[in-house]
Amino acid sequence: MNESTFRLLFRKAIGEASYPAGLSNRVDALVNARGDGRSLRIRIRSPWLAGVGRMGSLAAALLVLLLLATLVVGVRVWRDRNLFNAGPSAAATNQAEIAQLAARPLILPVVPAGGACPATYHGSVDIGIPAYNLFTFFGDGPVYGIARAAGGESTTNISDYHDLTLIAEPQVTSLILVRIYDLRTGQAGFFVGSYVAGKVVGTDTIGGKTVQHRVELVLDASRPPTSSPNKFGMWDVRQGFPTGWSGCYGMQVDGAGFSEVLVHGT
Amino acid sequence: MGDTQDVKGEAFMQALDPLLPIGYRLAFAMLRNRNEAEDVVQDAALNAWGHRDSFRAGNPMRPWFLAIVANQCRQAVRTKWWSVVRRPDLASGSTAESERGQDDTEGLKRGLLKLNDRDRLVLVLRYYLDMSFDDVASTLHISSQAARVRTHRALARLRPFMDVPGELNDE
Repeated sequence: MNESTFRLLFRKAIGEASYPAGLSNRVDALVNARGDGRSLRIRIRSPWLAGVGRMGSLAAALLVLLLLATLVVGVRVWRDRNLFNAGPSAAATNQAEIAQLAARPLILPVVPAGGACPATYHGSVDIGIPAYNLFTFFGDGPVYGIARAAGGESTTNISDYHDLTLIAEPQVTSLILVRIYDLRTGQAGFFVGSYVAGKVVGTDTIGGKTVQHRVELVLDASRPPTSSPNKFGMWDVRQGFPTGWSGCYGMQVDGAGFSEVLVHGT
Repeated sequence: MGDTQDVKGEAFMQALDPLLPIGYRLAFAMLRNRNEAEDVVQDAALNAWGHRDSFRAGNPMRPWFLAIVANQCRQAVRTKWWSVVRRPDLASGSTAESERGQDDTEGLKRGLLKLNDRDRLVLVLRYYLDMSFDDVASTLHISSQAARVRTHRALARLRPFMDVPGELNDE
């Protein structure tokens, strides 16, 4: 094989990436915003201040490291405490209400194969826990999702799993039904662990323990397992897809008076 | 002084703007994820802006910027701990391909996933961005001869997965 043939194969293997519309404008806006701050810092810096600044930077870096370590450990402990030891399943409490929510039509977007994932990133939401300001929330409310930190992903021979925290605004007090789909293929995802409900679509072994794949989550917002200081309900959940899924998923979240779509691209 | 700096900054951005698409191609090929590639280009542009004083006027900006993009890609991979999971956006083979062609493409995909970042980078620069060995060398801050050797070694590591070029062109 010569280099020309190899080059063609190489391009085919990687695929062509069309340049995203608006990226240049976003870069310009970012640089303009950053440029102002930079010139100010240059003007005020003297040799003495530069020395103080270096010490300050070092202290700040150490502080950030400490905070991050606390965040990672804290979030993992919190997740482990909640993930498989939650309260009674809401599914058992009100079948009629759940059936009504399940009857609502799906309003998830359809994404063509290879199409950009229309992620619903929201920025952070002040739930009263400063560490959570570091996360990007997705969803437009009243329910949000955040991807879990270290250890929040796992893969078995047949499935990819991702840990999420679902967060509901304080005014949500109804049952919440969550369904999940791969937006590029239309394939349904599943949930394992706490709060699962609905049809069993498979089983898997995680850490030596057999788990069921079920197609729904039911969360009781009147009794969340964890409430933030600002009264947001919080649920640690684990979702999954069969290995080979597209990496773009949508969750339809239905509750009393609202239906919402959370889209996340990985 | 502020005005002078603004004018200089504007010229810098005008020179950088045409390089964003190739920076995006590099990031996409390295990370195999469109969203992450976009983030990397934004970070790289900010980084380039922050270090524009270190850029020597008159030198080609393309290898300088691509080196920053490549570095941002490495950092993006290292800081994956907060992310959910990364799925490659590798294109699937065309149905019109011959069986042999499909085998080679699939083999190449598998091989690329096994390569380390350093090997994948040199192959992406050479075979996805069509850069000469001189340009590859400028981007990687190595000699042209070293760029050839590194390419040759990276190709050799793909050999278990597919047939690879035995001879390299001089360009």
